[in-house]
Amino acid sequence: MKDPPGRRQFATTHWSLVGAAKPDEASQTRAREALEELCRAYWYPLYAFVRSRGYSSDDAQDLTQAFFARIIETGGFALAERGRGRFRSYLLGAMKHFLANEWHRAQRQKRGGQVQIIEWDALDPEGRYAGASEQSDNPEHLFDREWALETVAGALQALRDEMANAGKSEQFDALKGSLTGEDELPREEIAARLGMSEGAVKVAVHRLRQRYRNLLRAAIAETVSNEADLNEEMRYLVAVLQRR
Amino acid sequence: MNTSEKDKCKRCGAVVRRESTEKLCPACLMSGALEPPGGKAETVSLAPGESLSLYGPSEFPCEFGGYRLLGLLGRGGMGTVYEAEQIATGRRVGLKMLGQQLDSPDMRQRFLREGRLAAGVNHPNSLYIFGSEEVEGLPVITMEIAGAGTLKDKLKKRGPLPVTEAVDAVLDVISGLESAFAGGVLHRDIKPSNCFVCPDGSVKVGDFGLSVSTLARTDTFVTAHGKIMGTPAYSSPEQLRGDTLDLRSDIYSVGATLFTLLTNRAPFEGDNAVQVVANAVNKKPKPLTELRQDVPPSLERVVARCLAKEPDGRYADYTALRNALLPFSSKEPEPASMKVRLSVG
Repeated sequence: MKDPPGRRQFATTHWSLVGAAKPDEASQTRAREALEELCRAYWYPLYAFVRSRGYSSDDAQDLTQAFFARIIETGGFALAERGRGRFRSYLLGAMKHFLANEWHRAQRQKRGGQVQIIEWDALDPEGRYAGASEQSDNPEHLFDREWALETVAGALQALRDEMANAGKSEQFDALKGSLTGEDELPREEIAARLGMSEGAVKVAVHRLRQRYRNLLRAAIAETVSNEADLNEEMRYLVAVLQRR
Repeated sequence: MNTSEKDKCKRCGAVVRRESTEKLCPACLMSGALEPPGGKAETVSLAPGESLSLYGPSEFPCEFGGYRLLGLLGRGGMGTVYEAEQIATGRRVGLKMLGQQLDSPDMRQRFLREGRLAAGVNHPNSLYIFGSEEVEGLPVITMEIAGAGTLKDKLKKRGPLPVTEAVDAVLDVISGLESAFAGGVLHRDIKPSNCFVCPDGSVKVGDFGLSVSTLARTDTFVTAHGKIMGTPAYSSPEQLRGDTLDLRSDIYSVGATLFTLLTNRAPFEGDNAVQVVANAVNKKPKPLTELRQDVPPSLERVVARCLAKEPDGRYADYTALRNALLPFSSKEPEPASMKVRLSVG
């Protein structure tokens, strides 16, 4: 178990790096890399947003690619409120601006060998979108919801991977229900199945929850600029996920 | 990806898209991570000055996100409601914003919950909630506008209402609450200022700010801090004591509201909240007939039964209360109960 996230982590989160970039080259490079990493992590909600605005799959892929290339090349264009706000809101706002104003220009420039941020071949954008498209007929709601799901699912996958690396896949499967605050099975039954004492199960549940909490908070922290925003963002995402 | 696998979380009602989160509810996963490891309350506050300029615009119309604010409709326990127009659609809505002095993570959470709970209720006697969203960093709830103020406004303008009119209004309130309850929601803060009047005189229940889902055994962010309290003059003794509530607590508040509509005063008064609470827990309300001569003794008994100190002494459900009130209303008993059966079933 690594350090729980605290105030410290905000010195170096990706989004705060982008916001705090100075004119010198090293700082700019760091900021660009951070931005690139963020874009790669959240391509899907943005793609879903563009798709639900009515663009075809091909157009949506081109557009998302062109959009990422553009914001990375320009260090985050229209980044008026640097250091404030959240990456999620920034990205959605910038994409809306891009669709309205910059798309055609970007299309013309495309021939000149644009940076490919997203490798579509390795992904299944349409497969994912097919599952999402009926969740909301409001593209912004869809974007927020897919964003929230991406975050929650990403941290869960990271936890699953960690447990698998430690040879504890079975334990993860038996205990993951506790992450939502409710055990699927009675503790005694889980203990018997895993060959552990009930006390040991209790400790394992505590650790699993703590680790998930840290992983999720750390992932979301990458997209906000300070600790107060982290909690606000999490509450917002909870509300998004509960929206009907 | 198979969307038919979607299901609703039994705990919070969120949609669980099973394949992406291993059959776990994403909303519960996220809210579980909000709790600090020790289970202690979070004490994060907003950055100073954050978004504050957005509160309380003094000049109308003004723009706020995708809305044009047209005027102030009212200020309530949780915040301020503006009359607004959604710029994209031209739709007139009530836009409720969390009050500045209340802006804490707790309150935000509670506020957003209101939107979520009430959004599940769709009934002609319940103020329709379009949704909750974040506008310029602020949580807002968009809701239907009833159009003719609240029952409190009505009392202020006209004084005690005629018996039939008061009972009719309360029957509307009962229908709204009944549908909310059928959807698993207790209101917990029924009072004249939370009952909204339509131009045709019908009444809609609104302000689910203190509502709680009857499905959730505990409410992580709100009741855990013991901060929930209704308006003392209209809250049941068990609510004032912080005990477990069921629909009979709302029935008490309905009785207190009817008492007020008939007399223009709350059943229990006092110089301060502590006194009101003490009176509500310990004393009997003044008999209605002492305050107003044209109230039939049988109606007084209905109100007194709603205001019984013990839940067991009250009506067990809305059907029983409705049947007891119908003789004093202008409404036809038969169609009313048919309608209820349809909307509940």
